[in-house]
Amino acid sequence: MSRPFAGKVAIVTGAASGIGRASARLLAQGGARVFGGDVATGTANEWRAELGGEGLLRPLDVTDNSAWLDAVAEARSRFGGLHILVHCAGAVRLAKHPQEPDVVSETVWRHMHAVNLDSLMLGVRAVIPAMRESGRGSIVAVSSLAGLRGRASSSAYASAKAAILQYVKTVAKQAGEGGWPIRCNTVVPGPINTPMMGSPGLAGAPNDPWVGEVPLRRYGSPEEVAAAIAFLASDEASYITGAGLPVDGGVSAAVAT
Amino acid sequence: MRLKNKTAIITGAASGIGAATAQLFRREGARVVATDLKGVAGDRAEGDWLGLAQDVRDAGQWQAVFEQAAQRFGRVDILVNSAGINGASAGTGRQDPEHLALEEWRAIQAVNVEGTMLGCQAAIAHMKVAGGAIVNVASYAGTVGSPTAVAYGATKAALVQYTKSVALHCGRAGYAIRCNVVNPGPIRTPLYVPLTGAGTPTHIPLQRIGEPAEVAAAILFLASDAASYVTGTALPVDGGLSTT
Repeated sequence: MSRPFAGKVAIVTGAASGIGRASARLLAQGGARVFGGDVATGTANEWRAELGGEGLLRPLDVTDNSAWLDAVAEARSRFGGLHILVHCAGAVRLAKHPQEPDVVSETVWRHMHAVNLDSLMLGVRAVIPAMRESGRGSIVAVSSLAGLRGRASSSAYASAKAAILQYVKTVAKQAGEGGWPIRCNTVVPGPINTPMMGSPGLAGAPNDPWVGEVPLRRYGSPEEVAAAIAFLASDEASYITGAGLPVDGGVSAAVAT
Repeated sequence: MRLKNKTAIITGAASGIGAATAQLFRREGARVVATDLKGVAGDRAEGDWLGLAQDVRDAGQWQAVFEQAAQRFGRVDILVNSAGINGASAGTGRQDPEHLALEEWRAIQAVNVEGTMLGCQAAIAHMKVAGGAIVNVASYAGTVGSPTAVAYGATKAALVQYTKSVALHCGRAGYAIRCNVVNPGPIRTPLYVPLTGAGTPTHIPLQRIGEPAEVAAAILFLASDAASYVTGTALPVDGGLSTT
């Protein structure tokens, strides 16, 4: 197997499960040394065993600025640099807090924006100095189809995920115009077979409403999103910055944007 | 070797993005059918390489290209529609909405839009049972107003729209065919230079024009199995130009 990430150091958030876990694996197997962060690190031994490369899983609350600074410092001291940030940490709901616009609470609104959006801002701010010193950086954020179109039941989540697309463009512009060797892009997953979606399997439940609207007629796998993330994170995407890449089985081709 | 045992047809392969894509695909293990209006590099057939002369505007030639590809390599897994013109080489001068000649509008439509349409139609017919991947090449110029390249811009916008329709059709029909499009920004190709000259493009966030190999890398991703859940998307390869 080729090693496109040989010599690279990556921070992957939300690394214990789903898209984050698949991304950590793909980067590590491609030669990256991976600092995985997650609020849930109970599976650290298993995580290490299946990583297929060098890396570690650490507790990381992505809404906490000092936790970000610590994570960057540890990644740099352990692995000697920082070149890649893959920010997968996020949440789609808060139990017992509906998000329909007429009833959404400030609690869930702020929680969704803190976990999904503010966390990205803190992460980007924390990694920029390290990436500039390392001489090359690539940041990949994770938005959602919900960020491209309205969804009544996920108003807070959709708002935060839409903001990610816009924010990433701004980061790309500042980095480019500043002459920094940093690119910043977003993947836009459709329905993916992850714990966040209830791990429905690729085929979904009978009459699954998600599968019904996906042109490819199935859920995507975390590995399929990780493959797109890895492409954007790699030097192969050297002329791509500020972009949003849907990985959604074709759903967004039928969505006005 | 991400394209091992795959066969790809690449149009516009004599220069620019098409040529870079053909070389990259070859390095990644693909059997390559490289076509261009006047042929490519002697039209030689050797090993995993077949060069052909092809006018993409001609439906009959599309059929012939797929037949020759299948005859030589068994089947076709990938089509990259890279052939395109911008009209600057036609010598008609001004390509603004006020002065554009109808003949030039039609000539550019014929290559860029009809050529891609015919290619996708031929590819769907060939791939609908065993599956495949199509990558079209549009442009940043198709996503914004292009007052000095109005015909070119209109064709490239059409390609983005058309690509999405192909993706939705194939998905809904149950064909395992993905169809995506790249939107290159300013790339160092024979096509780009005549329109704009070679000044330093300070309006591009990455502050340089792109190389054909950088677009080829994006085409490779979309054509490969790594993009198995990606269809109907337009991927900018533009140094951040579409954020401005």
